Formats: sequence, C-alpha cells, structure tokens
Amino acid sequence: MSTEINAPDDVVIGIDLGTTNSLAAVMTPDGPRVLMGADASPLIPSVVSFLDNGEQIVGRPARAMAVSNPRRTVHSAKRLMGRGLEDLGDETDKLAYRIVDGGSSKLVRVAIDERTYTPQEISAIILGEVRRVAEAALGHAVQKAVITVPAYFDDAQRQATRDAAQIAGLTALRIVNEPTAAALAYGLDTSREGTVVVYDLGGGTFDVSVLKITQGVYKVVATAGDTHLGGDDFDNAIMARIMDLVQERTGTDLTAQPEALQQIRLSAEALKQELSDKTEVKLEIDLGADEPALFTLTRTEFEDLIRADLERTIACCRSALADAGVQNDAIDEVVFVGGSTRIPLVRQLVKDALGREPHTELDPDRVVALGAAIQADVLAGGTKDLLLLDVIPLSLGIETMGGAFSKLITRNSTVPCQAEELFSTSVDNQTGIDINVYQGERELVADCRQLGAFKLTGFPAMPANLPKVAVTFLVDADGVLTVTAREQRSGVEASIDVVPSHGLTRDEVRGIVRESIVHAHQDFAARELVELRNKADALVRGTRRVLDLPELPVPEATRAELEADLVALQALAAGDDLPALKAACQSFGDKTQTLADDYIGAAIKVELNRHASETKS
Amino acid sequence: MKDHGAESGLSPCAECGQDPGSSLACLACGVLREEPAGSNVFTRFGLTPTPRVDVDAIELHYLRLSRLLHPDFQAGKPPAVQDLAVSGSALLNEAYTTLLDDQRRLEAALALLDPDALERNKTLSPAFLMESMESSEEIEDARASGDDEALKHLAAGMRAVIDARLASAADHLTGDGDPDAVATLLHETRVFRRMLRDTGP
Repeated sequence: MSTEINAPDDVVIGIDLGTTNSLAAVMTPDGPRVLMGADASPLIPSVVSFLDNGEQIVGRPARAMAVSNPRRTVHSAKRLMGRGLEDLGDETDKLAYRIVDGGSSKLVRVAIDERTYTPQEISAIILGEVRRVAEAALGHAVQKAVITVPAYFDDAQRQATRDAAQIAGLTALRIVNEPTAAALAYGLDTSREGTVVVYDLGGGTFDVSVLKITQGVYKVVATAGDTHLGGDDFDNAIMARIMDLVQERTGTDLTAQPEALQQIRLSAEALKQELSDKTEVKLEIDLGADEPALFTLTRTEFEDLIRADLERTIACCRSALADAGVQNDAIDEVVFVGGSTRIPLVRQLVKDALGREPHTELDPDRVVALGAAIQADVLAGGTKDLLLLDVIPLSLGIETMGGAFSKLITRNSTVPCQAEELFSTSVDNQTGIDINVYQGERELVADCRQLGAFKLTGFPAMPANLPKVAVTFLVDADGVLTVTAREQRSGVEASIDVVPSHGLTRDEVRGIVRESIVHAHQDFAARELVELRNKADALVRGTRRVLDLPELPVPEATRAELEADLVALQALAAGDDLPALKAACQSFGDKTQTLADDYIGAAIKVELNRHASETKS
Repeated sequence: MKDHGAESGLSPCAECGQDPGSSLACLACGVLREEPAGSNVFTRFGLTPTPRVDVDAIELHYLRLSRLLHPDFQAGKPPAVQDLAVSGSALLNEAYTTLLDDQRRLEAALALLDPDALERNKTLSPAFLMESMESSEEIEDARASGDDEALKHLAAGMRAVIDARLASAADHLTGDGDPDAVATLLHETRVFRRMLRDTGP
C-alpha cells in the first residue's frame, strides 16, 4: 500500500450535531475552519424527509419539504435521542410527524408510513449528510469524527449519539460537550485565562458550564442545564398563539392538520428571528373562505411568552456557579453559544444575572463545530498543549433497599471516573444479581432516570451473603458508563447483561448497521444498474454509428451478427437482470473491440477526410 | 507518618529504570501501567501516606499526570493502552479529589495505618451528641425564620470547628497518635460536614 502525504485516513473532523442545524469543521494550519456545502453555507438543517419513492433527502431540500410532506419530514430528532414517550409529554402534539412507543425499550420511534425509525437512525442519516458535505469539501473520505452533545445529556442520550455515529459508519473518537467545545474555540483565539461561564441556548437544549482555564488546561468545574429547553420551545409558544387565533376566528383546531402545523412552525420561527431586530412583527394567515387573519406579535409580548423559560436558564446558571464555588465577581468572561442567544432578552437577563457583557465575537451557530475541530486535532495527535478535563453532568448510582437512590459517582466529577461497589446474594445458591442503575439528583430512584438493568451471572453457587461481587462503574471521557464485575471469592469474571432503558442494545445497533449495509448494497446495485444501462446505450449508439458509416464496408455476416447482438443488448438494458446485462455488456464490448480495432484506423481516416473536405468547401 | 508525604519509595520503572513518580504511569518515560497491588491514592501521586499535602504540588503533579494518562493523549494507541488510559485517569481523578479534600485524605491515611479504626469507633460520645444537637437546632431555627445572616454566621462557626478537629486529627496522625482518637475526630467532622451542607441554599 502506498503512503499518502495527506494521509486522509488520519483526518478527524469535528461535527456539531444540532437540533436545528448540523455542520462540520476541520483543523487547518490557519486554525479551525467550517466545511462549506455546495450552497456555500456550512449549516445543514437537521431535517430528513422521506419521499414517496422511498428516497431520503436531508438538509435544506428536506426542510423545504416540511409543508408539502409534513408527515414524512422529521426535524428536531435530537430532542428524541434517548427519550421515552413519557419524557416528551404534550410536545408530540406540535409535531407533524408521528411518534410511537418503541416497544421493548422505552425509547421512542418515528413512524414513517409502514416503517419506524429510532432517533439514532434519523441522526445517522443526518450524520451521513454532514460526512458527505465534509468529504466533498475536503476531497477525500472521512472515517473519524468528534461529535458534540449538550453537556447536560445523560448517559442514554450520549450512548444514542455514539450509536448514531456507528450506524452512519463513522468512528466517533470522542463525544465532547458543546459548551466545552465553544470554550476551546474562544480560548484558541485569545489564549484566555481565568474563570469562564459558557451560556449555550440552542434549538432544543440549554447548557451552562463553568470552566477554569490555566495554561492550556480547560477544566470544567460545574455544569447544569436542561435538555428540553431551547428555540423550539419559543417557536412552540408562538405557534400556540397563532393556533389560538385561528381557532378563535374559524373554530378550527389545527393540531390534526400536519401541513398547516408545519407552515405555522416555519412562520413562527421566522417571526421569532425577526423579533431579534424588530419590535413588532405581523403575519397574515390565509383562512381560505374567510377574511385572512392578521397576527401581530410585539417583542414585549414575545418576551413575556419566553420569560419563564429564560428564568429557568438563569436558575441553572446560579446552581452551576454554586456547585463551582464561584461568586459573580470571580467570573472573568461570559461566552454566548447557540442561535437563541441572538434574542435580546437573553442577553439582558444573562448580563443582569452574571454581571458581565457576554462575548459574541464568534458566530454562535459555528463556534461549537470549530471547538470540536480543535478537539479532533488533539485526538489526531496534532495539538499537544491542550488538555480538556470535563465532568459528568448528573450523579450516577444504584437502587438500594426501598427504592432509595445510592449515589456512587456525584455530578461534576471529572471524567474518566469510577466507583466500585460490593454486592452479595440474599438466598442460598443464588447465581444472579440484578442491579438497577439510575442517573439523577433526587433521593428516590422513582424521581431519577433509569439507565438500565444489569444482571450479574456466571459466578459459582454459594450460601447466601457469601459471594462478594465487586462491580466497577466506569465513566469514560465521553461521559458514558460501562460496568464490569468480578466475584472476589472465586475470582470469576461475572458476566453482565445490560438492558438499556431508553436505548438500543449492542445487538440492536449491530442489526441496524447490518441492515444499512444491506440497504447500501441495494443502493449500490441500483447505481450499478443505471451505470450499465448507460454503458449499453453508449455501446449501441457507438456500434450503430460505425455500422452506418457509408465509407466502411462491414461484411454482411458480421453486420447481421452485430445487429442481433444489439437487439439482445437493448432488451437486457430495458430489464432489471443486473448479472445478465453485465455479462452482455462485457461480451459485446469484447466483440466490438475487434470491430473497432479493425475499423478504427479507417474510421479516423474517414473522419479526417470528411473534416478535410468540410474545411475545403 | 511524615507531615508532608515523602518520596514514595515506588519501585523503579520497569521500562526505563527511573523513579516513575506515580503508581499509574512513569513520568520519566511515559509508559502507562496496570497499578501494582498495594497502590493507593498517595502512591498515585508518588507520595507515602500523609495527613497533610502541598496543594500546589498536587495540582502540578495532577496536570503532568493528566497529560500522560488522559485518553485524549493515547487516542492513536492500541486498545489495551487506551483502556489503561481510561482506568488510569479514573484512578488519578479519584486520588486527586481525595487528596485535596481534608476529610477524605485523612480517612484514606488512617485506613492505611489501621484499616478497621473507623469501623471500630462508630459510637459517638454523649457529650458530642449534645453539642451537635444544639448546633443542629440553631440551624433549624435560623432556617425556619429565613435568617440568612444567622445561617452564614453558623456556617462560618461550623467550618472553624471542622477545621480545628481536622487539624487535630492530622497532628495525631503525624505524631504517633492513637488511631482510635483520629477515627473519633473524623466521625465527628463527618456529622458537622453534613450539618454544614444543611446551612446552604
């Protein structure tokens, strides 16, 4: 194998897999750069639309399908990652596409016609498009990536993101927290030192992280957030107002009309964005037979709609600062990330609460991807003087007697981190122990989120209380938990069967990957058929041209044989028999090759003669 | 036990023969290793068990070891080395938080001196229980009346009491102090620390 100078195998890109938009960036000698799509924009709307013919389209064209193809156009899939129906509540009412219960796992699925898709699969389709855009921009294949997630994503949501990458055929070298990535992007520009608060309000999630930066070490000291609070909620609030107005005027409930819902969603989003610059916006709503309704919204009214949500973000900031043991006057910088930080009220509330004017020098839509590219470069062995120390956002523990939650790893512990716990049996000859793992901050497991059920088996039968199974809970640098166990008396490595509560088992992920490879084969076969048909067409046309040249006396026998072959080839090209068409193209090509060899000289002469006579005349 | 942890007496690095500076990896040659039996939070920082630490030295050592052990810096290595980086970093982080937390550091030092001491001295004296009950009631009252100033004052007092007891425990450990006395002090500070948390928001 030859060694390539650019070794594209080693290139690691940074991907911001966002609720609204996704994009990729890569490290260059001049610093991190976002990768542009064919439309000269790096932003790929995180939207997938499934067409009638089974085709999937992604990004801007998919977003354009939202109104005409509402039930099959999926947006904001990130909000579904690692979630169950019970987590989503009435949010599903405002979605034009259908969400169904996942069956064995509590994980929700998106129903498109007869098929259902996990949020991981939808995200994988988006990641595939990001990768395609990146490959086109870089001019070579991309295998490895750093993918960002909200800092407040729990284990299930992080694992879901890793699974999405695997389904997309990407190696996710690291899952990085979005606010941390943003801090990296800012830090590289100015070599900032001190205490930095990153306020990240995106399309679907809110994060706040407090970092201490010294000599290239980015240490997250505390993080807090809400994985269900963002621009989508502000859109929903405006949508509700518009829907109320329509109901008032016409008595129509639009909840059951997906086309109208999508149209209103797009309008609501546009109004929200306009209100960042204007103090009042208007929308004319076509009510069909009735007079159009005029919807007006002032900035003040909009601010009242979102104020409660924004107050929640401020409460998160205070709690993160308290956890970090940082007083307001010790904050050196406040950094803004995420499209929703363009809302003037956000800026004002944050400034009032933290006493610092937030930094907005870097485009809030791009800063996370830029930071991910920096981290990607660290992992690729490029940047060496940067050290990122991140934390686990939520405490992790197990269920103990009476449904109590026993914390083994507390929130804001630096990752990687681990805890060991000893378990025993309660009856004689018991050879299995069930462990339920939860994540959260409350005292009872009922108020925390179950990550999964672990079953320890495979250790020898012993009297009750005698086995000592040491279980190690290890949280890696991605913030994802793995559990290992060993029975200490027998030394037997206990085996663990993990059933994620809101996720996919390893087997399920492998199944989806296999299936997508099968699909990829079908896709490949379809493409090959198209290419062969084109080739057959070209052969037919080329041969006819040669045969029809008056100057070339092709023997009648040869001509008749070739004519028969041509008819057969055309018949095959009209059908679907790929191997037969392939064989026919091959043999016809070989046969005409001789013809071509025989006549090519003559043909060139003829062409030249004709050319000469043309120029003469 | 020496006051500030002395050089560890870690065995020389198997690869380069130098003092590795940690039971998790060799700072001299950069090799990561499976932690030998008998390692503890102190050996990970190249120290012998000690009741008091030099915070700046710990911070510095932590960063040097992190730059070696953190999985980010072992990304291109074979899977076995990457696994060592994850578990090694986890053990380093555990040691770091333990050493910088007076209570946890003293408990770790005591456990190495006398593993059963804490378990043996669980029963707290009636005098201490009286003292802590009074403090607890004061906090309860201040909380009930929403008197933040009083709460702050109580918290400061509580911190002083904890610090004094921890200093006394450290002194006992530095000298030839009796493990039972140290264990008792540490149980008492545990109670006070819980109460201190209750004074918070």
